[in-house]
Amino acid sequence: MGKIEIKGVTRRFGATTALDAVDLVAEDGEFLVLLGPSGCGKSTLLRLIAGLDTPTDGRVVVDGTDVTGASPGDRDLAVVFQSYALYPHMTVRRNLAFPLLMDDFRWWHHIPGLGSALYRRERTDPEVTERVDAAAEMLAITELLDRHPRTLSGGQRQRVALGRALVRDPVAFLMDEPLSNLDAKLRAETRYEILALHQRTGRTVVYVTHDQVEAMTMGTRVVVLRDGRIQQVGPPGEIYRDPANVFVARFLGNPPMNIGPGTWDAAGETVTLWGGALPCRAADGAAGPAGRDVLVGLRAEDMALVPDTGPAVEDGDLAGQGFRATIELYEEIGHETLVAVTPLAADPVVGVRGTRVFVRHTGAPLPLGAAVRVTVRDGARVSLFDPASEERLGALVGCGISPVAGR
Amino acid sequence: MTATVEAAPAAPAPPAPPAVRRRGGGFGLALVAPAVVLLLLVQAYPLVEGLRLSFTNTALARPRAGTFAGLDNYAELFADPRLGKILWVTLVYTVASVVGSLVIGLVAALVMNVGFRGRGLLRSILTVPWAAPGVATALVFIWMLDSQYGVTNWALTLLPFVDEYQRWLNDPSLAMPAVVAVTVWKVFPFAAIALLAALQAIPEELHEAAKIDRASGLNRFRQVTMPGIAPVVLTLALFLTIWSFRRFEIIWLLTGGGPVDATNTLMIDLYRESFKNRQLGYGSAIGMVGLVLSVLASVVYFVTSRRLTRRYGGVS
Repeated sequence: MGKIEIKGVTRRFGATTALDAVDLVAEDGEFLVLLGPSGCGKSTLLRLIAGLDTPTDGRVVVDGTDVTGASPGDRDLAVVFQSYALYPHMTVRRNLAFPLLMDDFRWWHHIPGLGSALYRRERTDPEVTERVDAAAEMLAITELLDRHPRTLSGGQRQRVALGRALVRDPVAFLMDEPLSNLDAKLRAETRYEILALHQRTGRTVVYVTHDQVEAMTMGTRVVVLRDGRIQQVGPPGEIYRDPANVFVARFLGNPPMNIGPGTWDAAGETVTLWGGALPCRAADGAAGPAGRDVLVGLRAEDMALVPDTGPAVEDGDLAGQGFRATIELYEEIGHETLVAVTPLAADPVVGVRGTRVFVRHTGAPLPLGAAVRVTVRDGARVSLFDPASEERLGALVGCGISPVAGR
Repeated sequence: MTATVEAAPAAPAPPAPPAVRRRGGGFGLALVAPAVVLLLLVQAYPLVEGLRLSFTNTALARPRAGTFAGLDNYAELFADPRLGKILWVTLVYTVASVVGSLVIGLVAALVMNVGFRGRGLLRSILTVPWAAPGVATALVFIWMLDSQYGVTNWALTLLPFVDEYQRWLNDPSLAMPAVVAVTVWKVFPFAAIALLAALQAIPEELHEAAKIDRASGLNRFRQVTMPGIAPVVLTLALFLTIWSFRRFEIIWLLTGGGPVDATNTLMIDLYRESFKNRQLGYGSAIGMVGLVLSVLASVVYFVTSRRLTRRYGGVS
């Protein structure tokens, strides 16, 4: 139970296409993250799964049953909303019990006076109280049960919202940016709580976010969306390492992947980037594009910089390697230093501020404005993209200076 | 504040801030004074004057010749066997028109809350009855409800089971429903607009959460919509109640309080006593009874409103 299939789903709002023929499968028990910038269609996709919206075209299948036209309540999916959507006039206990009470609702409960019998069950029915208490205990909100949502902090409300989803024991949880209204510290804490909840219940989670840190740390698989189309699906490490195109490369990772125009010479085993030669050998799928123009993608941690002592560098294993650049900015993030450099040969029309390349620097600090050479580390992953389509061509392995000890 | 003032003489150097602050109090009072004076003139004076009149035997013809009559007016009023009927008629009229306006207003608001083409136009049209002058409304309805030439009777006979013309405004059992219907027609748009605003303030995600929680349409209405609009409903109920106590022109023009006092509310009776029977003092006593009723309605409102707040709190 808990397998969700999206089959050729398209959703149009008037002239705009929010989702364009999306195919996707969330396997049972997996934590699937829908990631993308705002307006990419990730929330629309979640709402289509939940049944809060219906696709223009295509089908939604849950556990082999076509639920495309089914009402939200008939899908046995729980939704955690960004705004928490707690019922303001109900206590926390009733908020949690509400889905259970609605399951037992009969038409005659509408007769004045008889409905109260149903709502009394939130305290008297052992099944209801047990499930509510268990969920409250799991989320550490037991002492909040008799309070109203307005008296709770954002983090507490978020836990109540999770609890309300949990109480029903649904086949899958759908979460729409559940952490975006929390401050940074609470966000990290709640992230682990959601992960723990996923591990304890073993239920499928479909999780929408625009925050790549959440996507990387939480998802068993990540779906990157852009303009209603899936860009890439895969485990977070794979998407980080081998992005399917330039958009994914730039969207994931902080700092984003450095991308510049260059050439790949398979015979000479060299990538030329910003006028500098980076020694590489072909890895998977990279044999094809030899000798042609490419877009070269390099992560900050896959590069190294050394002082540039002149045009002809004779500095050990950095002989003649790398492109020349000047140091523009230092960014200390505690355990490491991020250095922004501007390649000397960078095309000046690329951006107003010029091209900025981020390098993770572990050596002695260099002064601002210093001339440096930047090259690849040995064993680094170098991604190649097609300059026209910006799609991934393949990857190379760097043969530059040896990695710093300890890395 | 007190401490600073006492300390001021001891400290030679800077006693300026407390002095300024103390003068600030008087200055503040000076600033609100015009508003206070205006309120006293406009609100308090008529109230006190009305109260004073109710203890005199003032006649309309010689308004300055009235003399103190003690509780005579009240004694006469409470001894009048008609008072019970007047209060009953007032109650029936008030409850029927308030409930009618709220229910029809809510239905209209719910319909307008569903997005459809021409919603803006409908909303504008809907405000027309509310904006129309009461006198014009009453005159139009007098013709529409006319027993022989009225369009109401003609339209009703088109129905298969109606073949008799009714004397809407002249039949003691039909006059009240007719007056209430005209009142509701005029007042419900106000309720509808206020309720529509309240409906639109309910977050859409609450309705969606309730759908996910398998609440039926009726349950979503009771558990999400009603709690969301409850404060507005309560406020509306207070306004509509007090307006109903005070409503004059529609009833007066449609029936004049008749037939056989069937629509003789407190307000109509006040007017009759003061300006037809020219007993200004007696009329003022009736007005004081009306005032007490309005205050009672306000008390009910504040008690209920506080209980609502205590139970649910504001919408978070």
